[in-house]
Parts: sequence; structure tokens; C-alpha cells
Amino acid sequence: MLSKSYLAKRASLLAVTLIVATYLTVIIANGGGLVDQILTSQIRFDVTSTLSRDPAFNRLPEEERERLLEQRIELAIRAKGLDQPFIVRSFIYLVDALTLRLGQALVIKSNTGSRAVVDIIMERLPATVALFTTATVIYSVLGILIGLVMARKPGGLFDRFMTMLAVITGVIPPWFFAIIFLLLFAFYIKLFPFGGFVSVPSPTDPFLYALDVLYHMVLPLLTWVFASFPFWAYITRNIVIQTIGEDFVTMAKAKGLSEATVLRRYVLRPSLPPIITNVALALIASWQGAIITEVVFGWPGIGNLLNLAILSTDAPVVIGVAVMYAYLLVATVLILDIIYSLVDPRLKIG
Amino acid sequence: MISMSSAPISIKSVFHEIMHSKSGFAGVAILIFIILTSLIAVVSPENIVEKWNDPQAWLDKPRLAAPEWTTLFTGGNPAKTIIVNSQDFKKDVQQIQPNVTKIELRARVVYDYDTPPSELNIMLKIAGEARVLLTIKWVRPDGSTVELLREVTEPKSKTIFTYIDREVAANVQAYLQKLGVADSLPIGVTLFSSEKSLIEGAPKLIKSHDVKPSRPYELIVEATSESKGFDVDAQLNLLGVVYGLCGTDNLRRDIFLGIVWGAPIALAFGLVAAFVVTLIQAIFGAISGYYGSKVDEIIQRITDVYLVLPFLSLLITIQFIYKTTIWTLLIAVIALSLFGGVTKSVRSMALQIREEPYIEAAKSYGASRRRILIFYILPRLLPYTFANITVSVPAYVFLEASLSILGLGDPALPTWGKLISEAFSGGAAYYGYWWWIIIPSMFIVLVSTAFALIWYSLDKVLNPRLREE
Repeated sequence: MLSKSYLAKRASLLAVTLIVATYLTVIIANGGGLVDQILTSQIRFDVTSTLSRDPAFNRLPEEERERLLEQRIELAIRAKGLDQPFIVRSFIYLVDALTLRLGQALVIKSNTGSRAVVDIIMERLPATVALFTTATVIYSVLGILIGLVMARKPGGLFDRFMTMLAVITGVIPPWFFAIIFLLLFAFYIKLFPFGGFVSVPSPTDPFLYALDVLYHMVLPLLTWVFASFPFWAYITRNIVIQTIGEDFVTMAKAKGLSEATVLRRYVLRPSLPPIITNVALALIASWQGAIITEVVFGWPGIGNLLNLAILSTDAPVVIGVAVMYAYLLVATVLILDIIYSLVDPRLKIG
Repeated sequence: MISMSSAPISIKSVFHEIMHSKSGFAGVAILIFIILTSLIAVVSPENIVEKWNDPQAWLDKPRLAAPEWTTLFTGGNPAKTIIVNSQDFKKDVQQIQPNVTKIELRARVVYDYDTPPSELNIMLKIAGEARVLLTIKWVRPDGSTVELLREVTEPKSKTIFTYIDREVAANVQAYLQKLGVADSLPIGVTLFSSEKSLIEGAPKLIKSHDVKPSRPYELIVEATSESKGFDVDAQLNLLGVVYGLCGTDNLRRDIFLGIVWGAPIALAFGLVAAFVVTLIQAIFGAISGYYGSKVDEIIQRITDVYLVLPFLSLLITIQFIYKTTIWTLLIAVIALSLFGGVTKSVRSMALQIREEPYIEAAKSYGASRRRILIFYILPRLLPYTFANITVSVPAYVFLEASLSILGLGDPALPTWGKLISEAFSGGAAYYGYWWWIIIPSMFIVLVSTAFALIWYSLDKVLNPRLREE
């Protein structure tokens, strides 16, 4: 049965990890306080230019104007909470982030005009999930199947070829294939569009709209699958080969079971947990979007949002995305821990 | 890595294995090729890095020209670049009146290409104090003449881009009207077609060898002035539609030079980052695995934090806020990867090694913990660490490229990543300037392949179990 103390220990460790990682993200995303300085000078500029357009203000004597200006600026800074030192504020940010009060974006607005970070993220999430979840499912299934074929004849021609391909695609980032595929499929063969989410103007019929999105999704999907499946196949192959080497598989073979049965019952089943772990973690990671691939394809997902947020020093959005990802990751790890400790009694001792 | 053997392998046998397997040898061969390429940049006295972002420095190169070897596939004989330097002009100085000097410059160009050049630019250097009467004429092999320019100008240096110059356009239009040609033709076509074909309304390019005996094209620059110290020098740039080994980009820069000068940067960045990051992670992993208890716990928790951090987002943020060079980027990369996957895998290897008898023996004759770590455990981890370095070098080369794609690359250096990112933002994928993207990409892939091949030959040694028949 599930050991409660083991689980409690794991959960508290993960919580600490989450807090520290979030705090580091807060510090770096705010440029160690630099973003606060930018905000302060922005407020100073805004208040000064608003006041100087006011005729009543301009009629005041010089000293009075100075005093009023400083007063207004101070009020505006205090209203935003910028009067406190960054160290204090960083902890306020941390608590807000951890309690998922993601607050307001500084620059970016959602299409509906909302500045709430949650709205902005939720608006972008469907595009990313649609693309990358589909891609992850396709490449992991494809990878597992090919990995099984590779494991059947280790050192064979197919195995060596795929291993080589896995290592090469493993180090080449997907955006690289994105550019090559754009040149190939969009420019030379003219089969797919150059990017974007839907055609402009977009079709009004919902079915045609979905079809149009799908048409735009093919090339990013192809890119992501092509860039990922060989490495996936290689991981599967290694896990399966290790299992094949175990004594119980030799034993099953010695019993005279058919190869298919041995593969299904004695090799695949014990190989599945690590494969599932990898798939689960990849799926979670995919929801973070892919910054550069999305930028290259003009795909309006989380990755593109992150790029936009970073380039406009919109720290709340960067932190928001990072915190949501960290929560998802930590939750997944914990769930996997629970499943494993249920399945594999050796793990309970920890 | 999924599996790691703890069979003792020395670093020497690792090199032996690389050189004696086909894949390892191929990888090393490619690597040597890249290193030789980068040596050109290191040894060459030319300072391409400084020249790279200076638009004036590339005026003698065509814009967006494909590599010359493409003619092997497309056939034909498209225009290559011909530069006539000022020394190659025939200079004739005449004193036509007591104070008035007339200088005549003549350049002869044998032109046998199938297409007009992409640009015909004349660079003039006029010295003196008073104004100058300037006449520029273009003589074709069939003897016909087009007057390109007749103007009074200040004595200064200037470049006449004949294809887009207004005065030249007006003169050429007037010439066509005189011939009775109704439609306006591109200036390049007009200058390089025989007069007869122009009159007939079917412009046909005339080559030097189309006439018997063969005659070159000729550019005649006449300058007359009464100024003291009057002198004129000219240079004629006939820019081709193909150029060099790797073609040129939209700012006329020779992509070949970008690749050669980018090579040492790519190698240095990739190697240093891979080496330092892997080594630091491995050392922390070894300490964690061997020392155990509290130290282990602390290192593992820090590693967990590092694994959760959004690496790329944070790196982009740092690079964006501090707008730094490639070397400070390197420091940021290292700082963000002090702990990571290698820490975890090396730790589990160290846990295995710790239990082996020879460590026990070392302990029994009183070796200190640090001594055991440095002299007994770390050497055993070296082959694995080495394999990890080889596989992460290309990852870091690509990391630099990734940041360049987002416009966060080093502002001054011509890196491979910047070549690709400039090609992408310059619309190379949309207009089909394939050489601009494909050739720099090929070099990055070549480096990746080299290291992947070396890693592959090592993997066979390190994970023999996974290679069994």
C-alpha cells in the first residue's frame, strides 16, 4: 500500500522546489529590479506630460508646480506599490505568483482588451495545446513503434540509421527544420501556407474555419514530429533493449513462448512505465509552447506570447507562464510518483 | 543517458575507439575540415568582423547573388562580377587650353556572359578645387555608343549606380527615343543589347565574341576642369548575378566570408559551453553520489530547482535586458546550467562506483575522501563526461543561433546563427534565396553531424549492452 510518509516527503520537497524556482524566475524576469526602474521612469514621464498639458497647472508659480509634480509622481508610484524596495516587492510577487494571482500585464492586452495575465494566457493556450499536444501524441506513438522495430535487431542497418538520425535531430532545434520546410513546402512546392493560424479573411463557417486552421497547422506539425520522433524512437529502443536483457525475458523465451507473446507480455509491459513518464513529461513541456518555432510560423500560442512578453519587458506575463508551467510539471511528477509507488513496491522505501 | 556501464575505460582507449571506428573517424574528419576553415579566419590578416557591419565595404559585390557553381545545374553562362580597378583604366591627360585640363579614362571589358550584369556602378574620385564637366559614355562591341551622363559636378568622390540613377535613366530614355524605340526598357538590357536588335524591337544581348574580330565593351569617362590639382580616378563594377562559393546576402556581403569568420566563433562558443557546463555538472554529480547524505540531499534539491527553471525564457530575458555580447551570453548559459541532467546521471554512476572493492581498498589504506574523489572516481567518469561533451557542443552552437533568430544575437560578430536569422528575417524562405539559408545551415548541421558521429562511436564503447546482436 501507499506509504503516506514517503508521499508527504516527496510533496514537501516538490513544494520547496516550486517555491525556489518561482522566486528565481521572479528575480530574473524583473531583471533584478531593472523592470521596476523602467516602470518608475515611465510613471514620471506619464505624470509630467499629463500635467504639462493642463492649462491650470501651467498658470501656477514655478515652486508650486514643482511641488505638485513631485507629489503626483509620488502618489502614482505608491499606487503601483513601487515605493517599496525590490527585495520586499520580489516576495510580494512570489506570493502572488504561487497563489496564482497573476495580476495585470504591463503592456500586452488580450484580444478582448483585458489586461489580466490569466485572460491573456488562456487566450493563447488553445493554439499551443492544439498544435503541440497533437504533435506529441503523433511523435510519441510513431517513436515507440519505430523504437520497437529498432530493438528487434540492435546494430542492424535500420537501427544504426535511426540512431544516427536520432542524435542529429536531437541536437538540431525544431525551428531549423521549420525554416527548411518553409522554403521547401511553402516556397518551392507551394503546398502549405507560410504561417499564421487562419487565412485572412478567415472563413465564417465553423467547419471551414476548423479545416483552415488544420491546413495552417500541417507544416508546424510536420516540423515538430520530424524533429522529435527519431530521438523518441531511440529512447524507446534503449529501454526495450535493457528489458530484453533481463533474466525473466530469457526465462520466458526458454519456456518456448512465441516471440509476439514475449514481446507483449514480458518486454513491453515492464518497459511501459519509463516510456509513459517520458511521454507525460514531454506533454507537459509542450504546453509551454515552443518560442522560436511559433515565432517562425507566426503561430499565436504561448511561445509567441512569451517572446512578445520578453521583448516588451512584460514581467508579469513571463512569470505567469513560468509559474503555470512549474505547477503543471510539479503536479505531473507527483502524480507519476503516486502511480509508481502503487505499481512498483521497491520505490516506496525511497 | 539511459544506461551507463561502469566498466573501467580509460580516456586513452576512448580516443583509440573514436579513431578506429568508421563513424568516429568520419566525425573527426569533418571536424578537422571545420577547424581548418576557421583557421583561415584566425590566420588571415583581413578583419572581416569589423568590415561585416559596414555597408560601404561591400559595394563591389552583387546583391543577393546565387553561388557561381549553380550554373553547373542551371546551365548557361550568367554574368559574373567584373571589377575594373582604377589602375586598369587607360588614363589620357590633355592640356587643351592654358589652364584647362581634360582627362580621359577608358576601361575595356571583354563580356561574354548570357545575361547583363545585375548592376553597373561607376565609382569616381575627383580631386581639385573647381567644378568639373563630366561625360560618361558606354560603347558596345558593335561600335554603337550610349551617353550615360553629361553634367557639371563638384570635385568629390561619388558612385553612380547607373541602373537606378535618374540622370542616366533620362539620358538612356532619350537615346532610345532617338532610335525610335517606343517602350522603355531596363537600363541593363539597353546597355548590353546590340543597337540593331533594339531598333528591331527584339533586344538581344551582344557579346564581345559576337563580332569579328572580337571587341570589348568600353567605358569612357571624360572630365574637363580648370581647377588646380585636378585629377580623376574611376572604378567600374560590373556586378554579376552569381557570386563566389556561397553567394551574397541582401547587403551584398559574401556569405562565404561570413561562414569562415563565423566558424571559430561557433566552435569556441559550442566547445567552451559544452566543456564547462558538462564538467561542472559532472563534478557536482560525483560529489553528490560519493559524499552522500546531507551534501547529496542539497545538491539534488538544487538540481531539481534548476530542472524546473524555464531555461530558454530566462536566457532570452537576460539577453534582452542586458543586451550583451556572445561571451557574456556564454556566462549566462553556464550560470543557468550549473546543475542538470548530467548531475543526475553522474550521481547514479558514482553511487555504483562507490561500492566497488578498489574504493574500499583505497579507504582501507587511508586515502582521504577528496583524494578518492579526484583520483579514483572522477577518472572513471571521464569517458561518459567526454561523450556528453561531444553531444552537447552542437546543442550550444544551435543555442546561439536560436537567440539570433529572436534578434538577440551578438550585435557585432558574424555568427552562423546570425547569418541564418538574417536570411529568415530578410525573407529568404519567402523569396527562395535558398543559398542564403541553406549554406550556413549546412555548416551548423555539419558540425552537429561531426559531433554526433563521434558520440556514436563512443556510445558503442560506453553502452556495449545496447549494441549486442
